[in-house]
Amino acid sequence: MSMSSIDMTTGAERAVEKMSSRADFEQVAQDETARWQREYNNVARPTVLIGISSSSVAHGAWKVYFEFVNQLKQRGIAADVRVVSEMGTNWAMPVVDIIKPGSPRIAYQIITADKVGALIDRAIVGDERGGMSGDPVKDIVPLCVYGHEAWDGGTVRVGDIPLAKELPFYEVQQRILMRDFGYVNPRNIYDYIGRGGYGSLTKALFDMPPTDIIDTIKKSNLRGRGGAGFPAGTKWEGARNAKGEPKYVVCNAHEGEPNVFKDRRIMEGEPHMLVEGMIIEAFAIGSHIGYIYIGDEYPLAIRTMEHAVEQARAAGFLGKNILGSGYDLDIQVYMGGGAYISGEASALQFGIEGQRAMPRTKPPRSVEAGVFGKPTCVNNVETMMYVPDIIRHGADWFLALGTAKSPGTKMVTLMGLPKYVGLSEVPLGTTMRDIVFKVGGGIRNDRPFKAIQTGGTSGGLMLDQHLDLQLTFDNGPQDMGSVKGVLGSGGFVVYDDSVSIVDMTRYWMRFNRYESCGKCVPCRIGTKSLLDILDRIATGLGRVEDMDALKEWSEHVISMSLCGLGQAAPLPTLSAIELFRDEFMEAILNQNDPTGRNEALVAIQQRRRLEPGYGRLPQLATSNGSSQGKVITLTPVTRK
Amino acid sequence: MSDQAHHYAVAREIDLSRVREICDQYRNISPEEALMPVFQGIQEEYGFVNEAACYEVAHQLNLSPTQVYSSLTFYWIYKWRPGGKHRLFLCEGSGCYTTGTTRLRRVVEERLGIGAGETTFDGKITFQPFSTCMGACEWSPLVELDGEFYGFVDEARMNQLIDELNRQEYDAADQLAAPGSDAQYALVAPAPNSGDASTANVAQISERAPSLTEYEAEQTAQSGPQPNSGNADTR
Repeated sequence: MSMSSIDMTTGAERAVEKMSSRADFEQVAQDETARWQREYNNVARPTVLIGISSSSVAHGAWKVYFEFVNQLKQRGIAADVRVVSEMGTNWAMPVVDIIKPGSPRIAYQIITADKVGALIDRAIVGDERGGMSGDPVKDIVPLCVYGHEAWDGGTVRVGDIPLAKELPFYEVQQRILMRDFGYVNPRNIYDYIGRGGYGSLTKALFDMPPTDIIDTIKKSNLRGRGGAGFPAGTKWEGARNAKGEPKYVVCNAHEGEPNVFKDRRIMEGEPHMLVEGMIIEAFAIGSHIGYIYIGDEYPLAIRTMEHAVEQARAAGFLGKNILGSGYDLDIQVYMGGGAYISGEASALQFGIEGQRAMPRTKPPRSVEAGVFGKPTCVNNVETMMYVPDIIRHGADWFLALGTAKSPGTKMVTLMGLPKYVGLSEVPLGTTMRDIVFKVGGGIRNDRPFKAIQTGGTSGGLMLDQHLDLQLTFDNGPQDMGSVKGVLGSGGFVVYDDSVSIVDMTRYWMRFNRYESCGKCVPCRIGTKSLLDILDRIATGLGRVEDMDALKEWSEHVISMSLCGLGQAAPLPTLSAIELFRDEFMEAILNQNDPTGRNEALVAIQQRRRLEPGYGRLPQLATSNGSSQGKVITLTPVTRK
Repeated sequence: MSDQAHHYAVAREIDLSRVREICDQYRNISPEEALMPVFQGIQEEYGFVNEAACYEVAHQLNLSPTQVYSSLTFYWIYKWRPGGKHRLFLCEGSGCYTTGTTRLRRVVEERLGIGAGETTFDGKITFQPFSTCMGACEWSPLVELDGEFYGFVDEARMNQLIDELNRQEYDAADQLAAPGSDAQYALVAPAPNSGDASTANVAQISERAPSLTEYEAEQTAQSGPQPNSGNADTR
């Protein structure tokens, strides 16, 4: 891999030069800031920006890129084509942004490779008239106008194209981590430096003793973004005070949930911010070895991250005697094997040790005995990303964002059936209604909203009447935690009325059952048993007492499992049988599914038209759902 | 691991001397740490790992074969047999699942006769449903075939994709086959009522989409190979 960076003026690669002192860095930072301003605010010729992420690649963004390069060359048009990170507007992909000299930055939606010629005619050769409708070139619709410096900085209007802040998707967003998304080339370290990057690193290395850094993070009340919301400062302090050498810093970049892709996008879009945060963290706790543990299923993120670490090493931010401060650190990108459970902190350590990634009992916690039995500080990608900004602006700046108990912003992936599928960043404390109906734009095809699944695979459902609750880590009356909603890693799935909750509950349990590592009995057998019951209900063989069994067994699995997977696996089920009891009872008593999504139930209903009574089971309990049947009762175990 | 025996795909045997070379790249870190990178290297090169490689790696890294084998079998990325010539991925992330991937999975199972993670016995097609989101959920259900993504795939469209594979892989053989010969037992079952299914809008499957690799090649071509910046020793 070449240790070079892409020069934005010529498109050619530019070697990364080593900086060996703070003065060196400050000189480079000054030059790069000036260069960035010059090249972005006053482009000399039309510039095409194409966002690259795994999502846009799936939509054909590389094809669009090469189509632009080839067509501009063939037609002899002087214009630059640049690769940048991607804004998160998945529903409009592939998005192409065009800046012309003296004109704002206009984004166009759904530009597939066959529309490239028309877009060149309209926006590069011709002048954009700013028409959202009735334009001469069919099929090309602008998305919005972005600012030159920041996504919400656009003020100059072009026709009736909305400003970014006017789109419902962007309306409630506040982008702190994602501020450079869509602006910098993730493969160019100088873009990041030009945007103020690595400034916090020098501040931390030269101006702040490690204890001050930890105090700042503690004061800022930065809570872990991986799911549990554990205060990061407390963890760092524990790692700093732990006895044992060497100490390790591990970035947990292994998210394997079926509806979360925020960490992947961070690594594909802004890898240097993660590297910077990780160096500061390692310096604060006195570690000299770092790992970034990425699941194997993210090839683009791995390559981008590896490139970023190489560049940081070449620039002198990693290695021996970083910027002449006398501090050494090296970071490795470590590719995990791809198992959801590897994202659990103690399992991840075994993954790095080349063993089966199974969680272990705690204590000792990983800050005392982690990788190879040494003190290890494991943090999520998003948590580490906040560190540079908190160091730069101070803890009070961070506390002013979000709510009192959950400060800051949160990256959210919204999936399922909203209009705007995508990646967004909202301040904590935003109501769920804003997330579904503004960031998500409501439900696709204007169907009715049914429920939203929270917390990746491990949270409850929220109905329409719960949507005024706030997105936080807490359990207060105003927080989503009060109705089994879990913020978790920020993955939300929106359901419309065509989705069968019985089917989806089975899907979640099947995922957890498949991903259960099998080490502890409650999770290994509990998820299997719960799945058996759900399978039975979904195939028309359910019994009324199954409802009680699901509830009771779920509680046992939650209270007795070893790690977070088992403790959270039954939450969607518990929430579903509470909120959608009617739907389950309909499946159990009448073998009917109003949504028509459970194929077995649909088949029974079809057959029943010919043979009334087909598939009816003798019920052991009364039809009002109260159980008179047999339920195996276990003695509850309370966990201290 | 005995399922290696009845695999007919044209696949390279894992060369144990090459395995030793891969192990040698990781001598500077502890053997436990090196285990995963070594096997990722082997899998990248050959597309699968096998028992012989397990023993060789255990010997080279001075680990017990049991430990090597137990670690490998835990992670689903390691394949124990070579994948097919064509890779058919079906996204089963929750976004796609809400739009109905169950039916698509059944289409594949019925027509190709293979389940999740399996390869047709002639080594032509591998089918892999997975739940790691590809982040293109507004196109759901999403299918990836040989690096090309297809959105809004319904049963008819899935049938078209399989028809196209069928045409590429089996038609020539079918024309040559005399009635009663082996080739008549087509591995791909005909689509139900596929008589006049239009396949005009199915892209040419063999054409690979460009990727980061092409981009890097283009960037290097523009600037010429860069001299190393001389900082390699900082590693």
